[in-house]
Amino acid sequence: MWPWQRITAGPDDRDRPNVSGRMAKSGKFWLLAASHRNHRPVVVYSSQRRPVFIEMKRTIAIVEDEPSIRENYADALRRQGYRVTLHADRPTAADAFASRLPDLVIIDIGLGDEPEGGFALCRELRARSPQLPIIFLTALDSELDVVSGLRLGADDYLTKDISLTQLTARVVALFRRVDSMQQPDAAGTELTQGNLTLDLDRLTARWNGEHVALTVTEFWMVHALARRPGHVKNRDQLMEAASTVLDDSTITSHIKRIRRKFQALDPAFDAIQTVYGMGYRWLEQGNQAPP
Amino acid sequence: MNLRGQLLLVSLLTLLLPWGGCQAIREMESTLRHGQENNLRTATIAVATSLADNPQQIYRTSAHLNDPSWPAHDLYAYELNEAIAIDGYVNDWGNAPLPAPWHSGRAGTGNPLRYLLGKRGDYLYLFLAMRSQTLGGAADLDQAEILLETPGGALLRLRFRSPAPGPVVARVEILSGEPADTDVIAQRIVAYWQETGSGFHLELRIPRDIAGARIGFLVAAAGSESKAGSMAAAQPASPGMWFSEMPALSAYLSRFALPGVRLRVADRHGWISGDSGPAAPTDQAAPTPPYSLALRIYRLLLPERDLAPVAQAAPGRVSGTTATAAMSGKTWISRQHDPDGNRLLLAGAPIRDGERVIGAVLAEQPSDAYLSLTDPAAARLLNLAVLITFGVAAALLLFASVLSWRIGRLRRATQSALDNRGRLQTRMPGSRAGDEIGDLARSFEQLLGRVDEYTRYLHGLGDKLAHELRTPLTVVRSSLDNLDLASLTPADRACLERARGGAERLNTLLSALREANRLEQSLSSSEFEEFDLGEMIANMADGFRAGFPDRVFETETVAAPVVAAPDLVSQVIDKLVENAVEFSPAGGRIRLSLGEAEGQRGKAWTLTVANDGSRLGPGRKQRYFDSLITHRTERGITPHLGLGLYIVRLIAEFHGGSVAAGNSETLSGAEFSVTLPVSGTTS
Repeated sequence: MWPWQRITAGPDDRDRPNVSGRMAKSGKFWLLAASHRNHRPVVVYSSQRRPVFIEMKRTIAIVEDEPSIRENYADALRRQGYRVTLHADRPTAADAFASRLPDLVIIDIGLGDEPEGGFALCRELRARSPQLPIIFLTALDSELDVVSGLRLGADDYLTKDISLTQLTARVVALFRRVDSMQQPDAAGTELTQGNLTLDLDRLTARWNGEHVALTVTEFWMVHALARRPGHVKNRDQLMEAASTVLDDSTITSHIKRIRRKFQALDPAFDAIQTVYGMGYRWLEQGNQAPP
Repeated sequence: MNLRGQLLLVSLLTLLLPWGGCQAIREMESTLRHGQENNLRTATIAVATSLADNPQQIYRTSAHLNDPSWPAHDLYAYELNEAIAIDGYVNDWGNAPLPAPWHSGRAGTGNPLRYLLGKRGDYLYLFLAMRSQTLGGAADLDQAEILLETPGGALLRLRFRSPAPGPVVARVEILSGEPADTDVIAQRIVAYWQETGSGFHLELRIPRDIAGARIGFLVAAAGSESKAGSMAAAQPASPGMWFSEMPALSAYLSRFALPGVRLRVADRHGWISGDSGPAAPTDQAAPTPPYSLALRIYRLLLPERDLAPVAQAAPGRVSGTTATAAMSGKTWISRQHDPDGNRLLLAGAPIRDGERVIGAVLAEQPSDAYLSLTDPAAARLLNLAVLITFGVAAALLLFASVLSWRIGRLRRATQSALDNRGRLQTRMPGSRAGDEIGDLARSFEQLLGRVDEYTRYLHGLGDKLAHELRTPLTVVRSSLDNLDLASLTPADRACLERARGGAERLNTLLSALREANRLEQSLSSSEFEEFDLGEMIANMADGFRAGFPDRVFETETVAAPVVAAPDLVSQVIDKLVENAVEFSPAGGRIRLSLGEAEGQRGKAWTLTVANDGSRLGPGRKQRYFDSLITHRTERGITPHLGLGLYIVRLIAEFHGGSVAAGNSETLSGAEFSVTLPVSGTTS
């Protein structure tokens, strides 16, 4: 995916400040691959063994048929230092992606005259790259749309109620996860709560050692609950933790979906308890809920 | 009147069938009657013709024929069938019309004298019964006087008087004519005097060779001046003629008489001189019993026109229109009924001697005879018609019932087409029927289908609108987000904040607008579980106390296990409390109370949320639970679409419960309550 990643041979030169990774010689340049700073890709090249840091901008593709929204999102993301490509409809986006995949895709579901073009695009991309982060950003927020979007393998499903700040937070989180995935050996910050282990860098969860495929939103919700077992988190707190804007019934369906994902691995899972009228809480292993 | 009644009324028209049948039968009867009349008339004329120019067949003597008129003193002698014992008792007079009215002379019923005159073989018999209250002494006895004209033309007077019952001998006196031995004559006349409690009887036998064409009598009771009898009491008394039936003529007539027909010949004075005797019963079978009852009813329903009663003639005489007409030379036929109600057909034809009418043949036939012919057929026809009538009526009734059932079913389906949750049931029962009701059902289906489409359109309108408005709103919001805060002046920044606030409010409105619709979608995916409603309310009240510190929350709950969707129920409580908070002043009380209630399907819980504040206005309280209805009067800062209570209603009805609004009894404001059944069943 990264052009320099394919360069694997070369003498070691690890003694560089602020960077980690391997150096590789390509022509007259030394390259330091798979590096990042502040979760942004960095390319380091050197001709005289003095590294020069150049930020390699990550590319985000926005597929959105409404030009004003497209431009606004693009502006916001560009300000954050990303390279943004814009596509108005599914065919042009598919053509562009055929030659080169971006680093992250934000897709609207309704695209021009294709009411479910976003779903089709997501399916295509997921078939080509299992790792590519995909975010649905759409006005459609019915339960059915959310479920279909996530079932197609999208990493998150956001409604257009979300603010640009929240959107960028989500993008950053996803990149962090991608980066940490590429460093399998690196030990991330982990939170262990009974059978649950949360990797806070990779934003992944494991239950009894098995991987639970949570979206970023879901991960943050689980994290908010599991961090302080027994404490009731109300809906507002969960929304804040997940850095999103959701109405009551959407939170309910999120919780339902989280439970189902855990129950798929462990049918006896009942760690998330509903406290009617108040919110939800994480039950410590073996402890019954206080009455 | 309902359809069934109307069709039943129409079915009464089939009663025309039996009526028509009756008319046809009457027509048939009329034809038969006509034939019968013709037959009888023909027979009567034939007999009359055969008797023409032959007066001696009708009249015993020419004196009888030429008797100028009908003298008041004429008598009639019955042809007696049995031998008469001369004993003063009337009981052996057999066929003489006893106890029919005796000949009572012409003095009316007050007349104390009654008599019978009979003829048998060579004898003439006379029976006199006198009512007399007084018993006379020796000098004044009851006495009877009989004047007799002999065949020879002599006039005899026979006197009887007896002091005691027993055989008496007449004192014979020759008033005129040739002298004869009166003792011999007296010996030949046998008489018997009998006393009774109320008078006396005199019975006597006179040989025919003494009794000529005339006879008369006078009776005087003892101690009484007046005399009663067939003659005038004044002297010289003149006896009247006696007439009698001619046996030869009767035998002749009986040869002509058809079965069921009685032929009689009357002379020109009206006396019967020939009689074929009572009609023999016809050999046709009488109507069989099963028909007779029905027939009687039909006859009752279809009465024949009134018949004249048969004229009652004095014994030995004929009378009535038929006889009068025949005597005056006309052939006549008429229908009458006798005292027993039997219909009779009467025919009369004159008997002529040259130009002169010397008598009349009268025929009499019971006209019920043809009924025996027509009635079984009629009864069968009528029974069949009645059966058909009832059958048709029953079929029509059934048909009407089916029709009205179908229409009723359609009506019920139309009435219940809109269910509690505002959904339209567009399928109509019976829409596959090919008739007009099927057409109607299909029209209803089409109409409901269109209404449903429109309702759906309206239903989705808010959602669509919200969705469509969302994109430009996103444009606005993201553009505002994109503004570089650093480069703005403080004034610009305030302006930006205001714009953001407006966009935020717009966003809240749109979310609220879609919330109800989204809720309807999510209802179907809700899961029911058992939980304690009371505990939930207590928990939530804690949250509310924290969330709304400037309101006083009071709770009054019981342990209330319920099977429901907890998320939805908590949403209900949320909405009710939100509503109460909005309408109560700061520091106002809000009371949440839970109590047991009787729902439509057994036990239920009623949650009531009351608040201090203003009371509800008059009008339909349920309207507060409609979509987009708000009862606020002042505009608040937070947007309000009036969807909260609508959501409450949707959820309550989804659980099979109900909602109610009213004014609180304990607090100063309104109260809204929700009733949820204990065992949750989705409506």
